[in-house]
Amino acid sequence: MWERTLQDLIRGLRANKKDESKFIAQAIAEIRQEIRSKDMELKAGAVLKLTYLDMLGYDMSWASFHVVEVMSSPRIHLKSVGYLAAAESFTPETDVLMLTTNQLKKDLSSKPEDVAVTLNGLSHIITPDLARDLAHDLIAMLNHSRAHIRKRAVIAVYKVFVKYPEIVPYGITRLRERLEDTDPGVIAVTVNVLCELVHQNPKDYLALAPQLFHLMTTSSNNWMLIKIIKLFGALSPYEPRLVKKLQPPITDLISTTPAISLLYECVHTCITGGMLQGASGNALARMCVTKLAAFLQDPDQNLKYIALLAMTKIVPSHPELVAEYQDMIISSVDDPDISIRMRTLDLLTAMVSRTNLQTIVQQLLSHLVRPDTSASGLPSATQSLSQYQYRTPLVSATPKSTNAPSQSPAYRLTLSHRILALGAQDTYENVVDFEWYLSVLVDLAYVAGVNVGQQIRDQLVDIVGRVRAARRFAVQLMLKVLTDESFLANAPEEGSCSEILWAAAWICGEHCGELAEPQKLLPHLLQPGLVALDPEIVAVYLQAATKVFGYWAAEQANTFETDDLPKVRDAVDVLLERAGEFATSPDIEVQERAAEMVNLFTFVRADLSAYRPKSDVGMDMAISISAGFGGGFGDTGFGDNNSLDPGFPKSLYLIRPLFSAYELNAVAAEAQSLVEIPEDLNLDAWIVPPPREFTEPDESDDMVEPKKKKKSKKGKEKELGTGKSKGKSKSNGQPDAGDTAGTAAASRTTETAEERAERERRKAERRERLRDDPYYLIDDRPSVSAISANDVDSIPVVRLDDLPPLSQAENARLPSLRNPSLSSAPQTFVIDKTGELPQGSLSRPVSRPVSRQNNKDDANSLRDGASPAVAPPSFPPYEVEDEIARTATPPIKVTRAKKKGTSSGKKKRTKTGDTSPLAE
Amino acid sequence: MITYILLVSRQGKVRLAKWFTTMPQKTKAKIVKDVTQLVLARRTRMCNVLEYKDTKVVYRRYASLFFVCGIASGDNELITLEIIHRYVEVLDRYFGNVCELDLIFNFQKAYAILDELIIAGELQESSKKSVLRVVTQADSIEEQENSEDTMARLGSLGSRGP
Repeated sequence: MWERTLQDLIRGLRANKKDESKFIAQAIAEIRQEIRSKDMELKAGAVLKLTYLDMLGYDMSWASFHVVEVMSSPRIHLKSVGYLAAAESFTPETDVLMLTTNQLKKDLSSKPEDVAVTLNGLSHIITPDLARDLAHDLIAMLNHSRAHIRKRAVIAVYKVFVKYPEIVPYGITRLRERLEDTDPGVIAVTVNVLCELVHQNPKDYLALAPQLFHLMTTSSNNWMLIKIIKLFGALSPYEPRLVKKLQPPITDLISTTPAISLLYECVHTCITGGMLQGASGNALARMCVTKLAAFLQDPDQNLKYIALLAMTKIVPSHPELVAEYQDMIISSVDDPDISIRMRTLDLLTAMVSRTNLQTIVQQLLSHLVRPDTSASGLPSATQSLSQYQYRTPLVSATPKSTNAPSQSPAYRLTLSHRILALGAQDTYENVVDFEWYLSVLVDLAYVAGVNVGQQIRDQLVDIVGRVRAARRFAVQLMLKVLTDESFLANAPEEGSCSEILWAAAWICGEHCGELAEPQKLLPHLLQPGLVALDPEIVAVYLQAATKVFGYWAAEQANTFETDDLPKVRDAVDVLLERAGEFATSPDIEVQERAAEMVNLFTFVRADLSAYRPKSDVGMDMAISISAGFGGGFGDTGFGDNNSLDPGFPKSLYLIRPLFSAYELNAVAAEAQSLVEIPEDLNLDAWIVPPPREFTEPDESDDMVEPKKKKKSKKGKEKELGTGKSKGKSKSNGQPDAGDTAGTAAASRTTETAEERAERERRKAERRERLRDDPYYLIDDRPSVSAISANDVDSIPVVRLDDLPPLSQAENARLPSLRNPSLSSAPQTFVIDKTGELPQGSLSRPVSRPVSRQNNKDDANSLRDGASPAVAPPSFPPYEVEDEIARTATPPIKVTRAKKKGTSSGKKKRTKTGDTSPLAE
Repeated sequence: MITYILLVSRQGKVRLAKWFTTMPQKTKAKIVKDVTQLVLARRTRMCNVLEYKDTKVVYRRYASLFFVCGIASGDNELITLEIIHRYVEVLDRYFGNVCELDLIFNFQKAYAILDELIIAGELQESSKKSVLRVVTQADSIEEQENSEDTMARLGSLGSRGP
């Protein structure tokens, strides 16, 4: 008799706040006892306590059978406890639900109170099975004599429709009759339910329009009117005549109703239901926007919120109406309420145009400026924006408290993304002044404090590719970024946006022709502090340094005097020294590029030191080559062309053509798909065979042979597809230790015992390696160690080996290359929106003069979204024909980059050869 | 439609939770935790609408209790506020100057009143009067049953007595 009641449980919980779990464990143990009692009162009490605990998050699914027991109690107040517990705790998976069907049927035909409780509970626990079994009882109940039962039945039938849609055609007419019910409550509930149902298949409910229209014009129940109007909003897109019919009454409601929720619903429905078209629609639209603007100024924040929400929806069709309130909207961004800020951001994104982009972006940017950190970030940010008035008052207007929305990283991230999205919308459609926008991007990198560096980088590179007129300014700006120590210093911090340095280095390298004294950039590009940066960025720095030197050296060559020699030599020495430091970088990409640089510049230095004015250049070249690379040049074309004496060290022209052969432009989105796959490229073949092959312990010879054959084919595929050549080792006569596939393929017909043993041994080795290597890059591994000592030397040798003589015509072209004509301060910016497409899929490798303007077939140049793994400017010069060796270091990124431009890339390589001035 | 109604104290304790869609206990717990946190972080003079994932959370504070409603993004925020207010009004009438403790100790009554207003996430009755009538009727039935029950118990005790 003295069990704990619910009240005792609650009091106990409040008294035992410190040791709640223990108290609850004890309480549940008691409940477990009580719930098995034969006394229904006690059982119900236990279930009620459990329901309370369930609400607090404790499991009560174990008690579901007892809940059903309580549901079957004949006493209404116990029954309602059972139904409450069921509604709270049952899920569609609760197995005892199957047992309830008959109980529910019985309860539905019981006393009205029972029926009411049952309908309430049933609408929560109904499952498709229950819906099917009870559908007819429930639909019959729609005509119950009591209004409050009919009302509940309407909702129960709605749940049946949701769970068991097959019954809808049968039940919908009965449900429709409820719209003419004598009880206004039943009508209201029916409208509610229809409003939910209409979204599933609006056309089916068009027939209800006359009834609903009648209700709308006669009823004064705002609760229901809101739902009716919502309902019409869903119907009107399917029946154009409705719009015309609805416009007058809705206009009337908007202008007369005192209920703001109804007014808002009308405005909202007008917008979403497409009622604002045509002349009369425009009048209505103006009215809506005027009302919304009044909401915007209302002290009630909720109205402000919904006004912004509704305006966002009206902007696409009536931008000019919303634009009238632009100032008011922009000021809402300063609201301390995050909900309102987010809505405002949405609205601003929707209403941005060529005329207001600048204002909006400046405003958003001012939010990102932290009052506390501005000391470090702001000065340079304002510097770069000096020609534009920085809105200092707004900066001070940002909330001071530390937990203000503008300080939360999530909000800053959203804001930064918004700024970037606003600018990039429709490929920079709304950007009038790209110089301004580039400054914004740099400012953003300074003040964002969140991780948006990659997007900033991508946009910078993208703009420079697409907007020629902005290049000069971009280079100036990027120069400032490169020489600003703060990015380098902050690089390890989260949200430092150091990726902007990637863009800065790339842009300065690629367009260094805009610089008066590009060589002054070299120390910045190779400063030792770079190690703090991401290796990916360092790699771009190295590449940029090579480009800058290449450009500068070629320029020097133009006006070469013997006095210049020490200057150039010093520069080369510095480059060599700095690049050498990076050649030992742990990052493979940096290491490779640095090693390549070292070799290139070793060659240049050798040439410079061997250069004697007015002597036989050809001889010097030969000497320098043999000095630098230990032979390999004996049978090149150098000796044949030495009658031409250019009067400067030829190596000054070595580097620039490697980079300048193609201008890097934005690539059209579909360009890649238009590149034909070469006939000999099988994309389905394994590059590296699946591991299964290596784990089979006992392979018979018969099985091995076809597999080996297959593998050797794969090896070739790789050569073709990725340009990573195995042929290297063959042509250079180097030990082909790693070339298992090739060896196996060659000897597969006559495999001796030793070879077989050898093969087994290698297989074991492979398996060994496979364990540590998640990518199964097995074939090339040994060659790394075996060749790495030699590979650096091999690059230039092979490179030069392949150079055909330079034609006179191309030589004549060189001056124009050196002096890219630049119009000063262009005011109109042309955006290359589409990007370029490959001309056909194959470019003709010979006979076309290569110029910086001619780049139609350059498919692997610049891409829209700039995936960081692809470093476009760096590869063409080093790519060689398939059979010719290049470094065997397996740079995974390189492989991917080359895959991208496979077909055209291959053709290009020969062409790049054509253009090299060294080969004359 | 309304997906859930939570009553949360200023300390973040759940005082009532009604779910109109079935979901796993874990999801419920997550929503309760996240939404409570969001709502409690709000200040006065901010709007009563929040965005949580792709739903909206409409809340209003009455004394020490936050009434929180989860609705779909297409629903009318203002009418949801009205529904909350209507619920509070009915509670106030029923308990007579309702306070948090009333709801804590009579949580099944709070549920019953809510059930009279909203079923399956739909407003079923907007009239305060009729809601109150039904609830008080149910109370009188319960009283009647209880007294019958007590009589029966006493009777059985009496008959079993020595």
